[in-house]
Amino acid sequence: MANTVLIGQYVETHSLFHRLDPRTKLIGIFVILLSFLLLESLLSYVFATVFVAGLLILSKIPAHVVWRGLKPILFILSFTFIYHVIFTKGTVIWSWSFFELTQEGLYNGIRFVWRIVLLVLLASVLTLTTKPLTLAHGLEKLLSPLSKLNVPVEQFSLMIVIAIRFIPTIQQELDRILLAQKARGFDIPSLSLPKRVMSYIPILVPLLFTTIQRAEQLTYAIDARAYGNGRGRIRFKQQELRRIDYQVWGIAILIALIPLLLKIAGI
Amino acid sequence: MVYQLSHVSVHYSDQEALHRISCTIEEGKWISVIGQTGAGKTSFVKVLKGLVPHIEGAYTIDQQPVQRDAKGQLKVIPGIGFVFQYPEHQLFETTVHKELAFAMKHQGCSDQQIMERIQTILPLVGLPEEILSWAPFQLSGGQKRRVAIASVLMMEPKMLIVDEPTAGLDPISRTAMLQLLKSWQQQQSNRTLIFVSHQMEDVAEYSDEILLFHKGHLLGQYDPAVLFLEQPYVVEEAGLSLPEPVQLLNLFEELSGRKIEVHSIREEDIIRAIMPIWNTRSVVING
Repeated sequence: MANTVLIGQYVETHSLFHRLDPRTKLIGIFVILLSFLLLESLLSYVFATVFVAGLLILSKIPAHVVWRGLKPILFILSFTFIYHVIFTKGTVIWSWSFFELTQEGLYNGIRFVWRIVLLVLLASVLTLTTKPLTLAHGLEKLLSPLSKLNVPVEQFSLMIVIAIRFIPTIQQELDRILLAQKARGFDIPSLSLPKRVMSYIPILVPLLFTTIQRAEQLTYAIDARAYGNGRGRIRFKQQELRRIDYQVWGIAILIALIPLLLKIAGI
Repeated sequence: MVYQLSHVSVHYSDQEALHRISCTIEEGKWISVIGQTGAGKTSFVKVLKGLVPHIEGAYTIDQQPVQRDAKGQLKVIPGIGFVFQYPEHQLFETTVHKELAFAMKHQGCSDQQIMERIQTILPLVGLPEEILSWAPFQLSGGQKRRVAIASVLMMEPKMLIVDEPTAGLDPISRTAMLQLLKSWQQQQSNRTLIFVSHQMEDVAEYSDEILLFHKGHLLGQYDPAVLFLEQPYVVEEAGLSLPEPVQLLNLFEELSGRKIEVHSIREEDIIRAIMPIWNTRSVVING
């Protein structure tokens, strides 16, 4: 189950993207994501697809890992496609009873599904090439100027780090309870879907209980290490922007400009 | 009942947790499973219960292969009870009564049958009847563990697997827990107890047989006295220490320069064997 959670999908492939500063990846991908919202013409879609494919090849992510990341959104993709096909009015290609398949509906359906796939793949490059904790630290550094305005950036980052760290712990706890139930002759995963959903409810009680207990213990442990006193925390691994990072920033801005220019030019 | 594993291997991802394990477990015994952390003890007992779906090799009970589902995966074996490490963390029902009734309810037993079974199990685990209406979270650590064991005993297993049942308990609760397990096992001649532990003293005190694991291999199936007294080097090679009473016996033999005859490696028997030497020594000192 944990493998399908996007947050834990880091893959070590020693590519250029793995070595980049997390801030570079965060800003670069964010800017390009925004520009992908402007995709309009077939040419711009082809450009974006070639770019994302190139990015995935450069990051050396195996194809099955990319596919695994797409699987959970297949339902959303199907729903988006069907929604556009059914509700878009225009030139009718084929009809049956009250249902009309229009040229525009088909076009919109394909366009939106294509765009969502591109956006998800682009965001995956970030999570697949950056460890969650590194990402959280990068975000903290990026937001650090806000701490001058009394925004608790460091606490916010710590919260994210703890939340990420707790995911496998809760997963382990859940597995343990499920195994204990299986040993007592009650195998939840083998039940039908409605029964399975209902069977998970009583498990949530002890899961929530132990999680709150752990959170409380963690609070004491953090307090015991004098967190919050003094001049703030320093890091063992310092994140520094190198020349390659600035070069990637430049390339990202150029890439982001292309869909914008194509839109303005009406191509 | 005879449980037999023949050349059983288990892999988790790319790692081999068990390597070609072969052993025979006969009923009516207290069998201890020992080894360092990561030696394969828990994987082995999970295989016994049928909790590892994919195994290589053969697993038979009374010479019949264990059941597999349509996909060829091993099915959970109903006649075996399994108490996991820190079982108190796995309580999930809202009352102790519901917790104890959980397995029987899913087997379709009536309330009357469940209540009758509860009344025989509660005294065995030393719990009063008034706690039935309590929430499991209201109980103390020791009580929770007893409830967890009771909930497994409710299924009247022929074999009970306990994975480090005394971990985290104070000395008095630990002794009480071991006595509870011993009295359950001795109630009927065909009950088998599989005891996974790091406490060599408990292993020496209670076991009829020992299965020694090291790095996924089964080093052997031993009589406790033979293992600890005649082949102590095997224990040390597996990264474990000898039970304290055995260490004391060895020390006395070394200091006195003679072999001390013992009939078993239970603490009481070892103390009885070394007392004459201790007494002689004190007479010399006093004289």
